Amino acid sequence: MEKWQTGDIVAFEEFFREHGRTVFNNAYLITGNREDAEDILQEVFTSVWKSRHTYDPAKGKLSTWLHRITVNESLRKRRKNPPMIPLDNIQLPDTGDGRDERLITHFENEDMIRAMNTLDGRLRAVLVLRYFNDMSYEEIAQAAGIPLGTVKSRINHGLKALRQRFVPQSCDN
Amino acid sequence: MNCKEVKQLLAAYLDNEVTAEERRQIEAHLAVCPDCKKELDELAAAQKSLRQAFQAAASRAEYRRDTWRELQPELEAYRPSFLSLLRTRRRRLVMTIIMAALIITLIVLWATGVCRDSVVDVVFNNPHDNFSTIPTLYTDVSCSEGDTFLQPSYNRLTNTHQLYIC
Repeated sequence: MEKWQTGDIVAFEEFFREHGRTVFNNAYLITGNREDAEDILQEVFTSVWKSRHTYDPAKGKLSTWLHRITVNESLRKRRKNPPMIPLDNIQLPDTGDGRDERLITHFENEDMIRAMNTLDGRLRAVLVLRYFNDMSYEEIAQAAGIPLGTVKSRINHGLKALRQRFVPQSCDN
Repeated sequence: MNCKEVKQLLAAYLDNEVTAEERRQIEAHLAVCPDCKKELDELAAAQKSLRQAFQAAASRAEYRRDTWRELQPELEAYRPSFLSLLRTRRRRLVMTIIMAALIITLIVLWATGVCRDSVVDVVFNNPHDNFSTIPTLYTDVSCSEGDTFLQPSYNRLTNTHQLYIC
């Protein structure tokens, strides 16, 4: 059992300093809202403190447990406060022909984040866990509490949803 | 694999999350399908852009410095409820064992008469009898004339006095 799990508030502050930034970043990238991410940060650590006895290292990594709480809180918050940016108002670069190369070179980071903000929260969550935290699909399945097949389909669907704003695609083979 | 099946696995393929057999089939299909190859390249570009965008956004965002100061008093004031102590399976098991041991102990004490002999139910013909005179009935429960009792109570429905031997 970790020291903070015994109710040692000083140890828990160290725990907060160590993991707070990760929790905040994930919450921010999933919700797309800084104020919401601030709230989620507090809610996650309050929840961790209250349920500190329930974490069992033998059952999984601490980071996975934290990610799971963060994802749940973020999705709950996102359902409560849906994104304010309507899809129609998003200005994404017009890449024209030869879009493959320009997708990399002209895709401004902020535009990508705004485009992300139009996706369903569940898609955002798996994309953040995969492409920000570099988690394996198996770890994502544990953290998000969904089957492995669902992780695969959500990541595929999420990436395509972002890509299709630039490159309409067809394949009839 | 046809195009539809391949396209469903392209992201997983890029992430090295497909089986060896799936990889072989996907690569065989990509070698002859320029459309799927194009989609693969676009997804790879989208992945790269997404990683960059996440890193850039995360590096700019910062939570307030006083977050812990706001949080700490609330955490310190929190006291776990009794039910929260039963949340883990291990704790529930321990509590169940303790309760079972307690119940078994009470049953054994009751069965051996340790508890029963301390309480005597006596039927009186006259409910107004006082306890200065002990009926002969008490002799079979280790009571004798002159014993005193604590907390005598009278039940009007059964015309019974419950006497606790001192």
